[in-house]
Amino acid sequence: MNDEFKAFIQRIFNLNEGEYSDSLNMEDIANWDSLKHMELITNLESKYNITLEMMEIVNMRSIGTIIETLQGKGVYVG
Amino acid sequence: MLDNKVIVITGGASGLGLAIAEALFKQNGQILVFDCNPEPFETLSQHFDCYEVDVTDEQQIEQAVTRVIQKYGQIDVLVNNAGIIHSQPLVNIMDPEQRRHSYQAFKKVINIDLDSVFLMTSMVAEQMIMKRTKGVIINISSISAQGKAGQTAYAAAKAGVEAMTRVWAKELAGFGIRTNAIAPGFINTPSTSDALNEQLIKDIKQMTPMKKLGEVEHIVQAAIYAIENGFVNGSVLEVDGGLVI
Repeated sequence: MNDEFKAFIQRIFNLNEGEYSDSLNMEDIANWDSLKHMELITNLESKYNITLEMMEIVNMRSIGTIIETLQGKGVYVG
Repeated sequence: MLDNKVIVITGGASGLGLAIAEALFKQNGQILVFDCNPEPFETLSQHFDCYEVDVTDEQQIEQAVTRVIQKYGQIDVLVNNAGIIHSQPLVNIMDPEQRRHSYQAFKKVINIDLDSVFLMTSMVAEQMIMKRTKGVIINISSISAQGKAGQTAYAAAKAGVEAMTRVWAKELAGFGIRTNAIAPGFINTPSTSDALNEQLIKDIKQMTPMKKLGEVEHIVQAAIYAIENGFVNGSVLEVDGGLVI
């Protein structure tokens, strides 16, 4: 895993070092609500200079799907 | 200068809304007036793009916002100005026919002054988010939000507007959308002189630390400040000569 991406996710969701995993999803992360999701989207768009479509935004419900979505945009963080 | 920013002003066909529209137009804004009264549109359409919209009607707002997005691509600024003033005591012992505050009047004021702000902002903010527009929402409140005797409904509506301003400032900031309110005090307008007699205006001037009424230009300056200052968010700009302090 790209350390920069891992640090980015940890910062957004306030995760401790040992708490990160690609398999984490919305249910696993207590503060991943719709407002946190907005923050995630704007930060992803700004950091990777991409624009996410509405379907992509709605479907990103786990760290894994975030990685897949970024790959679909030509951004490889895995 | 506002660099052709697309600015929607509700209740922009008359009064304070029109004054804001004219001032922002002079600052090079692209002005879109939403108003339920289309009578002045023929004159206003020389400079403004006018839409007949009842801002308490969800469907009408949705249709108008859709038309605007199709035409301009995005909305940069929303000024929620439309509203009515209603003054009535909670209990008027001098009026045996209408002793208690009319519930119908209460609901009407809440609908026009509060619901409309919710409806307009939810639809415009949705578009700002979808289009990644780092927009600005300006809600016109009032010093009555502090709790002015004789204005239960109006004060409740404006206090609600200020509460929503703070909520949206937090919710939408992540998208770069800022939300602020302007709370005018007594402003030297025809509607003020129509509503208040000469003695009352004199008393208000006396109560105001600045010892005068405000001018429309003071409100306009606050609106421009709210649009242009990129770090002002969740503020209620009290433009009242110090009346509420």
